[in-house]
Amino acid sequence: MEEKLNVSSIQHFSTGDGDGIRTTVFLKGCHLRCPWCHNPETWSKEPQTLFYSVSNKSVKCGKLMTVEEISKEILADRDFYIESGGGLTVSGGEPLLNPDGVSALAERIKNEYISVIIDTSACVPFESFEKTAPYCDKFFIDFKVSNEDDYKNVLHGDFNAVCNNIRNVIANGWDFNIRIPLIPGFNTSDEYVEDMIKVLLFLGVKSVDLLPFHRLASGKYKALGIKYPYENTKPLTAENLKKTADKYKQYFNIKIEK
Amino acid sequence: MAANISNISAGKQISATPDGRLAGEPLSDAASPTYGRDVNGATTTILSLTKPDYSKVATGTVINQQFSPSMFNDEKRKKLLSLIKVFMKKGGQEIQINATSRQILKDAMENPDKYSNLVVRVSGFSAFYVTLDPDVQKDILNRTQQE
Repeated sequence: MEEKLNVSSIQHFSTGDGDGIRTTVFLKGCHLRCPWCHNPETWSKEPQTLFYSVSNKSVKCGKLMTVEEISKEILADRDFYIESGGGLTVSGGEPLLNPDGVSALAERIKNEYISVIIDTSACVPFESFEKTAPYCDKFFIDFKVSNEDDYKNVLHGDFNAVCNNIRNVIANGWDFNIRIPLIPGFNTSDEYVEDMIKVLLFLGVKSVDLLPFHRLASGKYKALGIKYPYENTKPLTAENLKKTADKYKQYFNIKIEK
Repeated sequence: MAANISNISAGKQISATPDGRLAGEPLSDAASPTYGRDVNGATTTILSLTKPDYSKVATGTVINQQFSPSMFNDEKRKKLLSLIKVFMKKGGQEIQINATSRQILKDAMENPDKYSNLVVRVSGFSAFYVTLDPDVQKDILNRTQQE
């Protein structure tokens, strides 16, 4: 059977999702509900329409596409990947909720000698990693909270699954980046950062990417008619960002995504 | 369609066109896409614009592309360089790169239809500026001023 993927959008000239010029395929469907999420249109598996009242525009999101259909669009940018060392990033949503579809897409792209990154919460069965790892150059693993209770109560997922997957990814020698969203008022206090550091060191993590919070998504929430809890949250000040980054820097190689 | 701002005066004399351009609106500037038509990212724009054989044309082959100021920092600057190199290898002749100015962002808030292709980028996320909430647009406007 030909695998189909539930595509929210395909973003060309993606410059914040890994090395080089990339094309990011955002898939629909996520079982977590991180309240600061930047892609609320990817939560549901159903097709949706975003209506932007400011510009009076409707944007449809959610389309079942075959691996060949998606690959054709990705491979159109081949020259850019080769020139820049870029490739495909599969994001979402939670791409590893569809390991068969994602591994079929990743295999197709790897067969063209093009780099593949999969961006995941890691709150998925380990089998999903096993299925996709042979065709994946690197996993981006989001690491958002420091403990089981917060993962359950705030994100609605299982922290132990994430930690076990990170250990197994390390044990298998698969390449990965830990990506930490810095959420003001949630995971940036001195105490919380210390807890995060402890867990990450315990898991054997050596480097982290820091992603400062921004509220660019608030327009999308309005367009979907969903309340955005972080609508009025201000981004970290440069000073606080530096302070938080310096703490991580004592223990890890860090990179700040700007 | 017409180079060096003559696209504006020429547009004033030309009635509506089948692509949805209204009577009197500017034509596309030189080889650049018509305002708001390039919605699939800079790579797609470049692939499309390098299809004609520019060796047969003497003038008017420049394309203009806008990027937010963050594209000119460190690592992203290299990505921009790769974009330009591919453009040249594919037979492009001249590309003019602009950092999106505060003035453009202000104009985009008032005239969203002209700027449906304007992308702002930060931390692994990018958005079409005109789809953003007015508050957030102001946020970005202020940030741009600082940079």
